[in-house]
Amino acid sequence: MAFVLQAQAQKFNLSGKVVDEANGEALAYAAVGVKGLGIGTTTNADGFFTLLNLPSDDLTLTIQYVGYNTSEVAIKDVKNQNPLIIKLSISEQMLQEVVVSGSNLDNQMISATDKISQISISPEALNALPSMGEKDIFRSIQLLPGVSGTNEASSGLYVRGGTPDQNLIVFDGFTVYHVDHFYGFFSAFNPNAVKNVQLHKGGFEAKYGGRLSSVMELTGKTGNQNKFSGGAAIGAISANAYLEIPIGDKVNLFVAGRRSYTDIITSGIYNDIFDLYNDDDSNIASQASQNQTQSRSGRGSTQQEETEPTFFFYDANVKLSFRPSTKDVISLSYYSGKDDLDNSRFSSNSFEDNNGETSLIETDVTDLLQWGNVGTSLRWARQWNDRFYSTVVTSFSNYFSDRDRISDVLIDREDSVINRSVGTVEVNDLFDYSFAINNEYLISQKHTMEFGVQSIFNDITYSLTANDTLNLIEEDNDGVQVAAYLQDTWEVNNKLTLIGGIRTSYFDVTDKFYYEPRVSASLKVTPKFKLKAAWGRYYQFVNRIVREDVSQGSRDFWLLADDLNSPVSFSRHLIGGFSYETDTWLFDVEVYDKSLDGIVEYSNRQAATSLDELEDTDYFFDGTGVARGVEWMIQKKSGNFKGWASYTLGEVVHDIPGISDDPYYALHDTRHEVNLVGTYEIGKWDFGATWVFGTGKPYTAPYGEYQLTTLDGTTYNYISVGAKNSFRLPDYHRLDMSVNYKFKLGSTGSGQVGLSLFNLYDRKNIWYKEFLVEEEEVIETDVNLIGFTPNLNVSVKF
Amino acid sequence: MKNSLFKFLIIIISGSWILACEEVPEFELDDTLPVVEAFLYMGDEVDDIKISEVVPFESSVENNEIDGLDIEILWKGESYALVNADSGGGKYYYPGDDLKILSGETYEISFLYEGEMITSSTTVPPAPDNLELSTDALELPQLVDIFDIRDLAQSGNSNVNVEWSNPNGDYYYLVIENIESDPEPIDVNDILSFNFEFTSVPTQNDFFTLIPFVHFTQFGTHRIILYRVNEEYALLYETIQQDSRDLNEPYTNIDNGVGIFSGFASDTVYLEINMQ
Repeated sequence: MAFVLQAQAQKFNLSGKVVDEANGEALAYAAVGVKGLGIGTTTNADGFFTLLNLPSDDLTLTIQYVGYNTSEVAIKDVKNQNPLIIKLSISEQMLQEVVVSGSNLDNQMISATDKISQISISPEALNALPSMGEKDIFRSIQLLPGVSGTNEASSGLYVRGGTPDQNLIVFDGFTVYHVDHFYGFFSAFNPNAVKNVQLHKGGFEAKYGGRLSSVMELTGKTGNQNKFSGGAAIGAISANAYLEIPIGDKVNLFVAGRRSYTDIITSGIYNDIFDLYNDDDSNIASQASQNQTQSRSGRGSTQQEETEPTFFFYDANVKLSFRPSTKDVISLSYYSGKDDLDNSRFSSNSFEDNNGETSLIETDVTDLLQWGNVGTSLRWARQWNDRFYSTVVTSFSNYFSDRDRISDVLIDREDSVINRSVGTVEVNDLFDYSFAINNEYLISQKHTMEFGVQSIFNDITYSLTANDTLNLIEEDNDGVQVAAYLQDTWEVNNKLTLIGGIRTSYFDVTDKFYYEPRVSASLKVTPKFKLKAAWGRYYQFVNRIVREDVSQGSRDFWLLADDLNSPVSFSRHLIGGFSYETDTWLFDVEVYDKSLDGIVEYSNRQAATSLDELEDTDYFFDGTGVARGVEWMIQKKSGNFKGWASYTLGEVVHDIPGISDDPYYALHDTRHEVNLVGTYEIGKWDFGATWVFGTGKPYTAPYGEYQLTTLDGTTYNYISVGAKNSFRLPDYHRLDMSVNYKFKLGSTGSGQVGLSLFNLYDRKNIWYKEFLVEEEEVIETDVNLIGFTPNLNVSVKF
Repeated sequence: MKNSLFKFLIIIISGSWILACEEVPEFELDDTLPVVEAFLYMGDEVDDIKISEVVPFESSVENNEIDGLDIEILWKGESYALVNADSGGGKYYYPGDDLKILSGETYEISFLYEGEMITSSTTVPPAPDNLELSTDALELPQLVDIFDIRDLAQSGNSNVNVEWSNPNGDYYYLVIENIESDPEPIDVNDILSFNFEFTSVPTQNDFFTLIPFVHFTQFGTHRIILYRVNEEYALLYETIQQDSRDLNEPYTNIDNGVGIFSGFASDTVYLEINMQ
């Protein structure tokens, strides 16, 4: 592999590549340090690294990679070691599930990747955590401070008061717009297909753009380069398998797929266990049959019901990698995933008025939802020389969501029978065609320059049809973003690192340029104590719009910014913090403040404020927002017992004048959030437990009624909706536990049997509330999240 | 030294955050809102003010009208205190004659309700222009047979057009009332024995067709008042229906409340319905 050692007046340059010892896969973002010199860097996305101006050719490299054993490599007679390939082995003890990038396990090296708010995750190392059948990258990330862990119904990441659409999710170069399988119980990514994950919670660099909140970069597995291998796993909900196929010395094929099967085996273990550990009211029909007839007191009496959905999903990954030379890597990556969800149900309610007359209301709700992603990318990376590295990526991504919801209502009174059908059909289709060239040039030991151009063509359609005929929204827009960026990482000295960059975007829909300067700094006060700060401006050109729906739960859809309905949104990040790190412990605190502009909400509920507005039927409202908070985390990084405790104090306030006269807490506002994560390993056994607590989320609800009489003498009755998001769901909390047993299969294979206990104490966490108004009655339905669910899973690999 | 630095950082970070909390008003489940239905008519007394309240589902209160409020109308810097009607019912009026409701003038209403100041304002629009009838007088026979009544209503021969200028598509509504003290019914059977009055829904047209037995039922002098409607009332009317899915509430111009405070300006014409 590329290895160059050049004398430059007693200075040496060193290049190499870090790979997995077992299968030869490149390890992206591994920390490479020179022992005792305080010099370090990280590998790029293809595992390459370069160290410039080393004072000696006799040195020891220390290489760290999350989930792998730390390796020390002594370099003496460098010419005879060419090419330098450093091989790391997977840690037997899976030392860390998660590590803040740049953390110094051995306290003997300084990582050049000490970047604020950046977290590195190894999917390989997530086995010990409890799961719903399979380890899940996004669910694990939700256990980190600053990332909301109470959004059980979404794998989407609510990072520091941002919403999932404000996260740039990049998988092998293509953007993924929706990451949920089955309301988020699984993320769209099969962890068996992912080698590395980098999460930037804020203050991210100029090479990333088009999003306001965070960046998550996933690198897909290339597969075993040494031998044919694979694996399979089955849980109580889904099954998955993968194959790693080397084709000659230069080509690798990786194939992975998984699918849930609860739609096929409807009376299987899932339903049995589910019914066993959930009350008899787990579906709306049975609950409705238990409802007692309630007497109205002249006011809207409410009856509560509960419902659970049924579903299936699948996803598939294929990655073909080709290494034509030691300097080039070409890969073709493909992903496809789809969810099919049926939330249909039937309810029957009876009411008795003051005169003793009984009304029966039967509601038959058809509620079907399909969504998914298709993405593919062709990527060429080349290490031109020890200083210059480029990647060229062209990609395609599609997100689709079709929702069909019709309610048939039968009102049977003693003197009449009324049938009514109401509902909506909602279709969202998003296409993304992208091209990007990214370059990295090591000017000197102190300066690394990154620059590139990126362009995206988006074509987004959205339609919302009410009662099959009335088109409430019909949008079909396309637009091009072209961005260029330039960034310098300046190692001022051994203590201070500054990163400054500028990103400029042109958006043809608005015909405007957008400037996004960004800076960050890291100061090592002592080897263990570090101060950090970042500031930046961010723009977003495609927005996920929340469509407020008080009665059926709010939904969202993607729309291209157009400065009419949906403005180009903006965010300013200001982050500061410090960390104190020893060999065993990490204590990390970060405070963040984000201001937001151009956040959009869609609501049919709001009356227009002028007749002109009314005629435009303009139900898009935009405004500003603030998200701020403090994150504390203490992590035990090594030993048999590992884990972390974190607490996030935060608030998210939106101020959209068309929606509410006063500022209000956003739907995802959580004041207090606590995450406790622990794993314990003894012999072949792993034990894991996680506990999540979060303040209940806000919601809007009908709370009273009133009358108005118009001039012609007609009196109208109204249900009054309380102030926007002024109600709070009960606090969310959940305990999950797991136990895994690892065993060997033959000479090279291995396997694992695991039991996960999800929501161990069967907390009835509420996802959202639905309100059905019939005959001035308000029927309130708590749509609950999943109760206690044990799950057995078995996996093997060879 | 290190411990001190830690403490200092924690205090700074926590303190700065708490000081920076956003102001978000609290909303209590048993809070209620006043419902204002207050209308000012150009040239008329102020006597169409009704205040009620939103009744929370949790409440056992049956009567939602609010009496005993200190309501003021502000006009040209002067305050005019309204009086609660003797019959209660949440109705209020102004007892004096010094509060003039004039076209183009702006009036404010305000009162304190459960610690919140409820306010609104309205500007009385200009009076309608060029109001006229297609005929000032109509001769009709007194009818006996129900089929004759139907035929008369359906023939269109006895319709009267009310017309006015409306180049901007403003909203208007009509009130037709018989001002005779003891009117003779067109229908001998006198099915509608009271003094007839009809109020139309708001219209953006520049005409309204009066049809026998729909808009008038008696002989005698009829006063036809055409009101020009403010934008706020037009908005209320446009949003009057609540969709049970969206739970959209009608337009309100009441701060800290719901309902409407609106002014109307009118012009009047008279129609004589004479017996043949």
